[in-house]
Amino acid sequence: MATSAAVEELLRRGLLWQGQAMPEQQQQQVVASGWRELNQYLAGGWPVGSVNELQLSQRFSGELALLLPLIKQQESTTVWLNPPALPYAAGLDYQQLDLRNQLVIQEADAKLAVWALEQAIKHPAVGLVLAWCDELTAVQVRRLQAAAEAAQNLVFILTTSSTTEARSYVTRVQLHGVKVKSVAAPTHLHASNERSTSVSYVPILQFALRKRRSGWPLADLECAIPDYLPRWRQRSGRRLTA
Amino acid sequence: MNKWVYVHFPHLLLDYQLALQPPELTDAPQILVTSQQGQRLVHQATAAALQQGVRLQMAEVLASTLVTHLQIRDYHQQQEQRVLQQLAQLVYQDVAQLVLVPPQGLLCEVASLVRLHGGYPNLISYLQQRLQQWPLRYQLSCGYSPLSARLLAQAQQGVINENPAVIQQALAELPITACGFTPSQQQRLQEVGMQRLGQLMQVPRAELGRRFGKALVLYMAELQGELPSPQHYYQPPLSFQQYLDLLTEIPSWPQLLFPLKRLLQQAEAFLQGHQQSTRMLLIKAHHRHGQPTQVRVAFAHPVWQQQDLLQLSQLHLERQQLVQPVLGLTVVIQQTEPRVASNQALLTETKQSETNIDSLVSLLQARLGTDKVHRITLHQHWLPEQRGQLQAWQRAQAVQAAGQHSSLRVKRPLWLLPEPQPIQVQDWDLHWGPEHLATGWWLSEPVQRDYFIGVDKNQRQAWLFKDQQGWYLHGWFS
Repeated sequence: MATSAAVEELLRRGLLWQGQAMPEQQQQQVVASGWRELNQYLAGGWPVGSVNELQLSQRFSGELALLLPLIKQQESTTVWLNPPALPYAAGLDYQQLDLRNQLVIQEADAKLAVWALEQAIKHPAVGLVLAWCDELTAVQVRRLQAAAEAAQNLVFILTTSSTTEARSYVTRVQLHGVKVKSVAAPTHLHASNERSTSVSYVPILQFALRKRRSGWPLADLECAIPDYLPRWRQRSGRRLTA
Repeated sequence: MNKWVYVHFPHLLLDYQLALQPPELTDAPQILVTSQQGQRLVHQATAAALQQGVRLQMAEVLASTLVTHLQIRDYHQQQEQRVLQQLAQLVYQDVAQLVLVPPQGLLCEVASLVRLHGGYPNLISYLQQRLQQWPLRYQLSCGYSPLSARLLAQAQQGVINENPAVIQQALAELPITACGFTPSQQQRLQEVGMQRLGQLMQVPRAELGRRFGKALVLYMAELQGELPSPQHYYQPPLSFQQYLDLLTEIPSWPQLLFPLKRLLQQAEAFLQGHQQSTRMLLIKAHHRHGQPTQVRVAFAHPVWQQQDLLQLSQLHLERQQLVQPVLGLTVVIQQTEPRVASNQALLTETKQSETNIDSLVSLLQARLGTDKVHRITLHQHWLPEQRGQLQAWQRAQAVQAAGQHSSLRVKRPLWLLPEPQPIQVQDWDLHWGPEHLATGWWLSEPVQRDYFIGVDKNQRQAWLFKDQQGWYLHGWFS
């Protein structure tokens, strides 16, 4: 029964799972994403030593807000490779990020960018790598994944492509954007003289998990990301006349 | 009582040149030739040439007929002097009292070192290990005086023993021709039947003076170490600038890597000797005509090991083009700083303390260029685009310390567009604002803006402003 022993081994390491049960989580080291629902879908959080892909339908549609808790909890350096705009110091400072731990690389040449990405992943003083690149070949991804696994680093590739071609990313998330939902605001004791029907709007990230380590792909997921975005005053408001 | 070790390098220049050649070429027979009274004589030869019958002081013509494909070059004493200087730097790592004896010798005073290493054999094997870093042929000898050690080494009769009687015996065996006498002295000694130094040593000193003059008395005194011969001890240079001749013109950087490696090895020895690190190297490639090509290699973190120096220099050089073939290389260490023991806390085992991020920055800057690696910096400025900027890593450090902990915490977007983009305000829902922002009237182009937070039809939150010209998109919150 050598095969069954091999299967047992794969099961134990979490590389193979049975459809009816979530695998045991203790052997898989994860970093909490900072968001409750997302952690559930990812069986605890982002796996350590992994390259993950965030496919964006549009840039600036919530991806940085999604990653912000992760960046904030880093004690070592976060590397930003080819960000699509200037990571704005005033805004990051407002969100209480340690600016000294941010390293931005801008390299237009795709080949050199991938080289820089790999160096960053391998470096022991780097804890998190965010890379905006659109064309990575299967070979490159596999190489980066191997490097991330060896260095136990967490890497995110942010891309605007929506390809379904197989790549060795550990997680593949498709972000559809942010919707707002109205929820009844919690009434404060001392604010009870206000209207009790006050409503606040919570941004909800719409996404699909097209690949994950611990289960089947999931579509049409939602995750509330209330903390880092400016508050919506109204759902679709009248325009301020200026 | 001083103790002396003399190291003689009979083929110093040639061996050094071999060390710079790729290994596959070093088996070829090569010789260096000098001109003496119109005659061209073999001065130094490789092992391969010697094996095929070439002898030193042989006529060049004879040597070239003995060996086919013999490579012949001219001997340059100046070059050899430079090599000896470099060699002294290497040996100086172990021996403090070192004397250069040009053209081919190093004299070391080793009394304290013998004590340190517990006897001659240990010391010698230690020195031999150090000398092995360079593939040079050498002869090493001990002596009770500088002259005795030198004579034995130059005559290839090295003695490694501290017993004076043994040294004396070896000296006695030396032929008169190998004792450094002037030709006229040599002739006079031979005329009275002196063949070996031992015969001369048996002659009483007074009689020696009477028969051969004062010079010989002094010689014997020097040989016996009775004269306190003043020595000019070697002082290592305070700065590192090393030039290296190439044997042939080299057209590309990859081929220069091998000689560069040697130079950087010397740079490491220099830095190690001074307990320093460097942040900047200057590599100069000298051409037959015109100005040398200069490449500055800057490091974001202090470096001193050859391996690091080489790796980062190599990445820098890959981005450079050589316009002309290269004849010589110079490496200059430009910025040194004392080595600081990194105060890595013993208890914290966080990832951060293991290595500094600066080594990654050095690596990236070497390959991509210094203008590609940035910090995000915060400035005390009212104008949004001035308030947050990207700055090249090295320049940013000073600003960083000042800009930390801003006093002003207002809601600002995470992204700022490099240039504000004109927009149609009808496409946006304005959710918050206005925040009025005006710069001083004293500026040449005063800025008056009203900032809003707006949401586009895809529910993306943006930072918008309106000024006299119209509406603009300036940043994103997500």
